[in-house]
Amino acid sequence: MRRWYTILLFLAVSGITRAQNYPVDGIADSLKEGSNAVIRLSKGHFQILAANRAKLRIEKVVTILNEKGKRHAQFLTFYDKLSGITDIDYRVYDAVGKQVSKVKQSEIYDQSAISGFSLYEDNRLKFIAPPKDQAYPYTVKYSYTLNYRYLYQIPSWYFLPGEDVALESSLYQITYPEEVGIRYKEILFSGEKKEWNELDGAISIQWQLEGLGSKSFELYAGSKSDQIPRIMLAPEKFEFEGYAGNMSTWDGLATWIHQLNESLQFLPEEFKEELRRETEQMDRIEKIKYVYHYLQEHTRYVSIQLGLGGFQPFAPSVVHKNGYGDCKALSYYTKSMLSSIGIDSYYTIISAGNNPQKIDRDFPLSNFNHVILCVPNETDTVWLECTSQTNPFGYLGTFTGDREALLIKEGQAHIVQTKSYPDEENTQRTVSQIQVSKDGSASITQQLQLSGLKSEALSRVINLSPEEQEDYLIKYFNITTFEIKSFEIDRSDNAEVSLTSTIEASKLLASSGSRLFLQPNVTNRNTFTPVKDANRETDIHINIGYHEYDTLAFKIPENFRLEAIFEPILIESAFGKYEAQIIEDGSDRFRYVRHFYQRKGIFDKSDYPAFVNFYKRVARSDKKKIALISKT
Amino acid sequence: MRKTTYIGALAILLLQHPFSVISQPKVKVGKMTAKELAVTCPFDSSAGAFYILDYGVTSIASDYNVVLRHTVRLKILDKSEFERANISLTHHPSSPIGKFKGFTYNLEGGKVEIKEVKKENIFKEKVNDSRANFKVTFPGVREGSVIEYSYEARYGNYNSLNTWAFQTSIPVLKSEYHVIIPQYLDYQRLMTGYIGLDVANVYTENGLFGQDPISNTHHHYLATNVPAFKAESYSPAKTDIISKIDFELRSIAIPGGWQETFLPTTYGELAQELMESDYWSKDISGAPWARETLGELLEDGDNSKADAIRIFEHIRSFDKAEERSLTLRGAFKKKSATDSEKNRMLVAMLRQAGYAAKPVRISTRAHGKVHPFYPMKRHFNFTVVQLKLGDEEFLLDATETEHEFGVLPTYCLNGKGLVIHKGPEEWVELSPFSKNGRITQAILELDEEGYLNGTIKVRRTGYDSRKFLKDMEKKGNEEYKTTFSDAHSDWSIASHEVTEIDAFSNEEVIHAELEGNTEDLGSVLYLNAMVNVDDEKNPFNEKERTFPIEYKWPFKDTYIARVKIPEGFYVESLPQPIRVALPERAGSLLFSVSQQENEVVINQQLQIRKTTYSIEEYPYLREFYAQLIEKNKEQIVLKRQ
Repeated sequence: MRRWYTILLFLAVSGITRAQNYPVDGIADSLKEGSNAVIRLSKGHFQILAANRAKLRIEKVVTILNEKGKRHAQFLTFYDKLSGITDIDYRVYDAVGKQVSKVKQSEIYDQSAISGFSLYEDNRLKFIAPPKDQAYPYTVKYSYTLNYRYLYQIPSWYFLPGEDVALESSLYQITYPEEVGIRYKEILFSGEKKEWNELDGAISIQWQLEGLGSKSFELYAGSKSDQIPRIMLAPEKFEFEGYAGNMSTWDGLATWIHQLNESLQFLPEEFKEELRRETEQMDRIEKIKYVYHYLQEHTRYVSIQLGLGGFQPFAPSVVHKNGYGDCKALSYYTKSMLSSIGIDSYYTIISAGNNPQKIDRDFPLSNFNHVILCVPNETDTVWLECTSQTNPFGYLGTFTGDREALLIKEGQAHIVQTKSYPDEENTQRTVSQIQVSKDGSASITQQLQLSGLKSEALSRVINLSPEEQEDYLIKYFNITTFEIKSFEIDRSDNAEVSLTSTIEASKLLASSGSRLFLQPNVTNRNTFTPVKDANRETDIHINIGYHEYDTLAFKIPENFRLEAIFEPILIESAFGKYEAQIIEDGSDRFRYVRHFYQRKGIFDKSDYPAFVNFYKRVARSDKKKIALISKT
Repeated sequence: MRKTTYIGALAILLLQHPFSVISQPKVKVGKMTAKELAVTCPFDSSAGAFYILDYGVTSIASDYNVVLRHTVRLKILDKSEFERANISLTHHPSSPIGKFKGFTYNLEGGKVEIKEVKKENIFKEKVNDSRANFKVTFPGVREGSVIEYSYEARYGNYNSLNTWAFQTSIPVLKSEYHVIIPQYLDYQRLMTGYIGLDVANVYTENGLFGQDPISNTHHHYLATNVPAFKAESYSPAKTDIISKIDFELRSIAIPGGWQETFLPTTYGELAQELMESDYWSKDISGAPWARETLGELLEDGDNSKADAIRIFEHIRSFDKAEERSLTLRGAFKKKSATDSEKNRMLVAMLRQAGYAAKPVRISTRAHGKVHPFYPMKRHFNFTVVQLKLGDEEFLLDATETEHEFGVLPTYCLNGKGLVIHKGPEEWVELSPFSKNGRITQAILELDEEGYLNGTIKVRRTGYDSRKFLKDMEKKGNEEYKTTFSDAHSDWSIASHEVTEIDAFSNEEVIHAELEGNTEDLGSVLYLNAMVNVDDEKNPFNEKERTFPIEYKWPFKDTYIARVKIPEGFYVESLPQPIRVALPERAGSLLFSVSQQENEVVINQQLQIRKTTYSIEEYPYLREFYAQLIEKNKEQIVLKRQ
């Protein structure tokens, strides 16, 4: 169902009737290199029949070179109550191009397809497994037609489906009546484009690209889909279950969404009255907080997506009765509660997750998968994530923060920027007192304070039971052999998380003759080093910036002293900064003081070696050792 | 083949007995007092949710359907457990879930507020032709809510009743289970786990089967205050340690009708029965279809080991089929067979060639242990082959392509296997290969900059070698090396080669310059010569242990390093040697270091001989690893002359 969860249609399609059956020796060596499969021909044709009807024809021929490429031979297509799959044809050819089998209709597996986060959806799938017992290399050829009884999105065409596949030839064609209209955008496309009129007056456009070697995605390189040539398309006029709209402008999309929500039944009067009564004495922010906490205490997130329900929220009255809903329903419920106490708020659709789909201002497209609520105030805007029972008030974080979203105000669209978290606000502060004994054991009292995006490191743990928290901490602390004596995890209203713990480490220091060896960075070692890559092709994307401050105060056991200490370390780079040093405080105490800064930003690909080098030096510095030596 | 007999017999029964349900113990739903709602979990205050009641009655209807009436009361204390208010009951599309009732209870101003599950909270998902889910999302759930539901489910198969688990991933205050069995049927029960039961009664009572008065066997089990099941590392299979009960049909006896015994009384009988079944008797009679091939394979012709190996290798070279062929002959011709077909084929061909080969039924590790007393076919899920050659005995598994002849793969190492033959009951020990582990040899030279230059050679043997090669194959040789080099970012690797020596050993050789093993503080230089040592953290940091500790196989890990000290430096101190042993020599650690002229020589040996440890032995293992890791962190202290 085309709803607001991102669906990347990695369509790879293919080739009609060529005389040959794709013998494997026809593949150029350059395409085999680094590939586990080669798409010989991939052809798609999206045909808009009316503003509420469309058809997608896919034909595809893929040669599977080895076991690892096997998944490219599987046939997997989704459908639902408003779409159907017909004309499935699936054949297998051996290396020389001789047909060895053809799948019967009865062998096509059919199953419900409910996403992991949903309780119920009306999606189903059809599936054909890769051929069993077929020697590599082999080729599969399949085709099918999807018939849609609606028009909302037009599948984007990706010329490569992933990173271990090469392409011989790929074509995508769109045919549409002039009165429906479409828009398109080519991304990294360097092939051929043709345009013509069909006999019935419909317009056809075709894109064709040939000979693409397989790609390997680089790390810290931004969104993967931005690294693949593709064609994005969207309709002008569209219609879903009787609701017609026009997507050629953002306002058009907003009007359509508004139209779906407008008809919903409101909250019961007595509940509105209750809200008014309870919040009468409060100021504006307190009122919003009251409503948000009411939401968190009385509802939970349950995703149910049926037909139009993919776009239309449950009515606030239904959420009120059942105490659950999805992002749309819970946001709209909250909006209704706020509205009943005289506070305006706006339904805001957004692309959530770590790799959001960016809004292209010039290309209105429904590319969203989530809904949040925006409550504007005189000085500050409050953003509400309504699907979480535990999210701190106003916190968006890495899930929906720092990106553009589409705010719906009456029938109008506003592209707005959500809350961002500057590097300085994302901090981790560690203060520890460590009492060392002669046998190398140590008592550690540690306070960890996390703010901003850094708080997410423990925000999931906060919601666990104490027993599960302890299990987590046993894995979290990088200490050889230890016991957690006590701990407490807390979160303040402003999303700050603190962890206070007392730990007995039986062998924190390795005792050897007259010495005790120690890595003074006890619990916050950065071991991360980016992979080396001599031919970096994409710029380096660092999505989160933060600071770490560590102060570990050690008490030296009687009759011991520091043998020697390392020189203060300072590493400065475009990617951040690292400082660490040992400060002696009298004869029986010293402090290990560390500061690490990771800078957010996009850095030129030519700086990649410096990027690797920076982290390598940080990792090495975090491994520094010192020794305590017996005075006698 | 047997199935048809069942159905035939059933058809007659159905005519005799119109449907009826036996009277059963019941729990009422839909009512709860404020006091009941306020219940807490007295023995686990940290639980985010717990079962107040998990109550089941299994009975057998007169149409021989197995009926489970299930009632659950679950309290949710924490938001993190809200997922438990969404339930999914899996069933066959033709046997829908019946009589579902569900309620959510909340305490609202001292009063109990009830919300009943309505149609709009229920979703029926047809997954495919053989599976459907009945899904419910409970309304009005918040912290402190109790959800309650009851339903009736029918399961077609009376051969083995559904498993009842007393223990779940959250605590259970009361788990009560009744099984009511008409006199015509007799079941063997099987219990596993570490939880004691408060009630375990079996008695006879009067009942009805259709219209007929009969006597029933009524099993009644009760467990209270059952702690949550928590998985631990180095544990036996979950199915062996979680507390649960199973029932397996032993016999059917209908007066004047069908009489049959399904379960043997001893494992000897079970072996006999398997032996007589079509399936095995055919295999054991030989492999006439392979005569021609055998003619080529039997080079020596006097039942030599070499000939047996050739047969073994021949079958091993077959493709792995995902679906069974109609006959072994068919699979043989296609040179493509499933795992079980390969080993059956091996028995058949060895016997055809005149060898003393027998099938051995085993239970793989993941499938759990074979029950020591109650013989049942379902305990077993795999077959290996026993081959006797004079005084020597080999256990063979032709499904693993790389294993040495006579060595079982690790998934087979699970206690004992039952020999299928006509003679007396015979078990074989599924012993692991004994020479597993690795030997690391590092020849290094320290330079004045604090870099270590040299060669690190790691030879792995036995299961450790197989595991290493398997993991590497999965990644691909090049990717393995890339990952290795990324994980050792302070090594400059000049060359890195992995050579497979034979099926059970390989050698990895790395020439590199190592940074980061020294700390030069001017007046003094610390050197750690334990390179390529992976343990940094004690694998046993949990304070308490509930289940025994199990290693998959015994092993020995040897580390030898020679480090040449540059001129201008002298050794000021060396780590102390140690010798640590686990009780009864189950494991040992030896560490020594010495100076030989301008070289420091380190020798460490870690050996785990025993693979299973009781909970009482846990503290020893914990301390054992603590000592090992501490040793590996000790530094050699050098000073400038």
